[in-house]
Amino acid sequence: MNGMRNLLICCAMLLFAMTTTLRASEVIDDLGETFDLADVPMRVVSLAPSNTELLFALGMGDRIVGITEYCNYPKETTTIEKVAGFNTVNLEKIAAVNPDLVIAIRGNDMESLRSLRQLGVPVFSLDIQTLEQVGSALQRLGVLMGVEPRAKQLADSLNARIQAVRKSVSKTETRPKAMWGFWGDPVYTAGKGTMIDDVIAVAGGDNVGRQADGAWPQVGLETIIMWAPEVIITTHIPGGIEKLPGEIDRLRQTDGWKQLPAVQNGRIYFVDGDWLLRPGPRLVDALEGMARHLHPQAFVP
Amino acid sequence: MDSQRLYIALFALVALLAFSAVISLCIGPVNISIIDIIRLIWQRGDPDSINAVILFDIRLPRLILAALVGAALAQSGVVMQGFFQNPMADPYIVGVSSGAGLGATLAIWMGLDFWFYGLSGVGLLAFVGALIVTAIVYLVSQRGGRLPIMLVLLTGVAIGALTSALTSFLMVSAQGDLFDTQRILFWMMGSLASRRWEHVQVVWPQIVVGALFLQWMARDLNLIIQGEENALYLGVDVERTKRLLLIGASLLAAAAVSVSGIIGFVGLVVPHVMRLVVGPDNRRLMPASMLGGAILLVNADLLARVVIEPAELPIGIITSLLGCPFFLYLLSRRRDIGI
Repeated sequence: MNGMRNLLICCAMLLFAMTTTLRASEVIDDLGETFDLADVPMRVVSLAPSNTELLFALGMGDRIVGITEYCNYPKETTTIEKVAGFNTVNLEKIAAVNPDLVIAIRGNDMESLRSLRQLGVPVFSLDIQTLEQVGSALQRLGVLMGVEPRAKQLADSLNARIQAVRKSVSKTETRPKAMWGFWGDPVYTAGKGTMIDDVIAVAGGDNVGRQADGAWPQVGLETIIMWAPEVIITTHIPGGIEKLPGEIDRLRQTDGWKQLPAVQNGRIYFVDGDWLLRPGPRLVDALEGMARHLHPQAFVP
Repeated sequence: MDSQRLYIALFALVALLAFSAVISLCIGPVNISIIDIIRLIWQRGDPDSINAVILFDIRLPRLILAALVGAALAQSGVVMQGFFQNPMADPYIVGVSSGAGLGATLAIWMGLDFWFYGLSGVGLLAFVGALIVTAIVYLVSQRGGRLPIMLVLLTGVAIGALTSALTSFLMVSAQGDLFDTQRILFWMMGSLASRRWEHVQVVWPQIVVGALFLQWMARDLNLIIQGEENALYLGVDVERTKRLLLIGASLLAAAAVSVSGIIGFVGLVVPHVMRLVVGPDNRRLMPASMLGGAILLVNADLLARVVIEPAELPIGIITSLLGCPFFLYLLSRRRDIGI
């Protein structure tokens, strides 16, 4: 009888220990706010495509009750209520889906986020700026949503893939000069502090956009000729990827552009903007694609 | 125009405003029936229900703010048009919008992230920017204690252009975030999205005091419009009155802009429309214009909420789209408008 009682006490203690470890699950968001939710959130609103993709990767898709108009992946998003536009958040629609957690990003309208907090909805903000931070964000979301083991597993596997890319490109001798952008007028490229800069660096490239000031420098053709990029990565081709060969031919006959090594050698590549520009799990796919474009010889099977 | 007709006009405007307000409370991304609204107001229903939250915490403050901002801009427009005796004058003519634009752009550019009695850093710097630029225009155009109207007008245009150029320079050279550029552009078109009771609290005293003060000055403004010399003989301290009118109208517009961004058209056209309805006497024109401005903005904000839902349209787009054809129609039936 005594043994039974001890066992029960043990079980109770174990249970208590388990719940306290769950309860002690404090997470800090990228605005520095500490979250310790009493209950696991079951009705979540995502205010960015990247957040939506992170939640789905964690298997939390069925807990999402509201997303933005631009959340288009995975395909289950088509049936979820749209509660926000590109830079506007629809408070009424969010109130109508009655969320117990909103996951925002730094770019969201601050007035709206403040309004949401005043309506009593916790707002967890992410600001993922480097590849490595994707894993951290996943793990914190995992704690928040009560799926820590799964989040850790996913973060570990993403980090392992990032390390594999680092290892492969570290064997190569060169660091090709790469530029992200589209050959329009003017050319916007990615500078220091952008995710694209980090992806190019990890993929073993030298982002020429770093030489300009600011995050998204707007540059003229003269600057690009001076930079002489060996590879151009674009996330946007009017008319779609099948127009790329034609565009390269056109650039080969365009003064200025035809001087660029990237144009002469036909090393202009398309990387899906939804992968590269969203700090979600597919960013690692973009990284692997980028590394293959920059160092084809390192990835020969 | 006799008093009876004025009262009828004002009564009609009040009724229209009330009707617009009720429609505006019912319609939105989530529709709430009028019966539900009455029930919620009567017993305050279940204050935690989603409808109650949408109605009292989201829609009502926004509605009140739309009415306040619309009234303030229209009132400011009446005074500016009278002051400059120029039909092109609007609340922004002495640099309120360009100053506010520069302030807001600076705040966004520097990444200011603080709140001041409910006003965001952007709103606060917009307000300060508007006041600074207006003060510069005022000081530069002063000539030995006198305020020559033409000088104020041209100085306002010049300093406004200078300030706008600085703003554009910041926007283009700001190598910041694409989000930031978006925010600046959106702010420049005005919006009442996500505005809360905080905003109402911070702005209503300024707007009510400013609007009533200008209303109290209406008779003096009438006299000045009929000729400064004349007004002087009738015992009006012309220069003091002009200063007070200019400062009052600018402050009123700056207060509106600090919570709503730059909403164009209201302050330009509502006074003209109301002049066609109640005549040029500022004592009558002012209340009519305040009501008209409130009606226009309440309806424009309703459209802003629903047209491209779930996104929101900047309200400045709607005030122009809605107001211009109506105004052109009114103009087409007139030979002349008098200020």
